[in-house]
Amino acid sequence: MTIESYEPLLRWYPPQWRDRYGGEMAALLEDTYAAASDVPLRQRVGLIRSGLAERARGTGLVGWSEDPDQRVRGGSLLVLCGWAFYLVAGAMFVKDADRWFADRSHTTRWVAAAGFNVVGVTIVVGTLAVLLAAVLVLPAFVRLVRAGRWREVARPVVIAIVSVVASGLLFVILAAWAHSLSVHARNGGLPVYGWFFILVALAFFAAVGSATTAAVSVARSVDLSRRTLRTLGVMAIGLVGVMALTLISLVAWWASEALHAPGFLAQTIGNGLPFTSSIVPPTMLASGLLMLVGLALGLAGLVRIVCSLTLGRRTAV
Amino acid sequence: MPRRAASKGDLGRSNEPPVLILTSLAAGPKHGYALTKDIEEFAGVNLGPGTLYGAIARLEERGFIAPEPAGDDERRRPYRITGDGRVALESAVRQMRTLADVGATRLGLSGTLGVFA
Repeated sequence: MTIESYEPLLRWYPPQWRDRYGGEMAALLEDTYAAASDVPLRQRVGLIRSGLAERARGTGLVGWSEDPDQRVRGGSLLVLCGWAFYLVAGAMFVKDADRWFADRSHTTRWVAAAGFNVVGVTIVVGTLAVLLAAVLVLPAFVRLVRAGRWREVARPVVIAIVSVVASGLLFVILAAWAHSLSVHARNGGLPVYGWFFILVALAFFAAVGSATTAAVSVARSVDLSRRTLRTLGVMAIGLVGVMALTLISLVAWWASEALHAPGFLAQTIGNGLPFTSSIVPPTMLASGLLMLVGLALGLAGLVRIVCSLTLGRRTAV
Repeated sequence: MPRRAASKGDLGRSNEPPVLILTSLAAGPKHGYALTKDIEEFAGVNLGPGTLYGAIARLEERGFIAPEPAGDDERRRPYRITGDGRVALESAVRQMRTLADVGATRLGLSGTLGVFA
C-alpha cells in the first residue's frame, strides 16, 4: 500500500505539511488499519479537523509560533480579515443611510451627524491604511514573482483581480442606471433595479472576500524584513483603533436616530423581517454584528501583535 | 497564549499529547505507530494520527524532538528526544509530582504509595 491510498484522507492538510509528514502519517494509518476504507469515521473527522487547523496555522492566523515575527505577521493578517468585515458593514450602512445624508433636517442632531461623518472618515482612513500596507508589501511581492514563485499565489490573486474588476464594472453600470431613475424607482418602485442592486452587492462582497484571501495568501508567501513586519504590525494596531472608533460612531448614530427619528429607521431596507423593529432595522443589525465580528478578529490580532512585540523586546534584553 | 510563549518549556497537562510523546521517547527513539502503541500501553490514551503528528510538528518546531536518520523505510522515520525536550519533560514531571504529592497528602495517602514517598 502506498501514500496514494490515503491521499483523500490527507488532502485537508496544506501541501507543505503533506510533503513533510504525509508519508509518515500514511505509514501510521497503514500500520493501524488494514485498508484506507477501514479508517473509522471518528479518525476521518479528526484528520479533517487537524488538516484545517494546520492550514489555519500555516497562515499564521491561529497557533503560537515560536518566531515572534511570524506571530506579528499572523496578527496583522487577523486584523486585515477583521477589516474585510468592516468594509462589508460600512457599505451596508452607507447605502442604508444615504437618504439620511440627503435629508438636511438632521443637522440639529449633532450626535447623529458626528457619528455619520466619523463612520465615513474612518472607513476611508482604514482603507487607505490597508492600501499603504499593500504598497509596503509590493516590493516583496515583485521579488517573489521574479524568483519564479508566482504559481504559489497565482490562483487567489487572479480570482481577486477578476472579481474586483467585475464588481467595479457592475457598480459603474448601477450608478449610471441609478442616475436615470427617480427616487421611488430606486427604492423598490422598479423590481429589476432592485435585483440588479442585490447582484452588485453580492459581487462587492465576493470582491472583498477574494481580495482578502489573496492578500492573506501573498502576505504569508512573501519574505518580509523584520522592520517591515513591525511597521505592518504597528499599522494593524492603529487599524484596530479605527475599527473601534467606527463601531462607536455607528452605535452613536443609531442610538441618536432611534431616540430622535425612529421614523427614518422604520423606512430602512428590509424592515418588517422577523426579529427586527423600527428601531432595530435589519441592515443596522447586520452592520453592527459584522463590525462586532470584525472588531473581535482585530482585537485577537492586536493581542498577538502586542504580545509578540513585547516578548521580542524581552528576548533582546 | 502569552503565558505559553513566555515559558518555552511549558508542555501542558500530564495527559496532553506533548507530554505523552516526550515520555514515550524518553525510553528511546520511536516512529509514529510505535509511539501510539507505547502511549496506549502506559497511559491508556489512543492518540489519533492527526493529533499525534500535530503534536510531533509542534515539538519538532520547538526543538524538543528530532527525527533520526531514516533506515530502509523513509516513511517510518523514528524520532528522538533532544536535550531541550528532556529538560522540558523533567520540568513537567516535577510539576506533576508536586501536584500528586499535595493531592496524596490531602487525601492521607502519604506513605501508602511508594511513588509519593
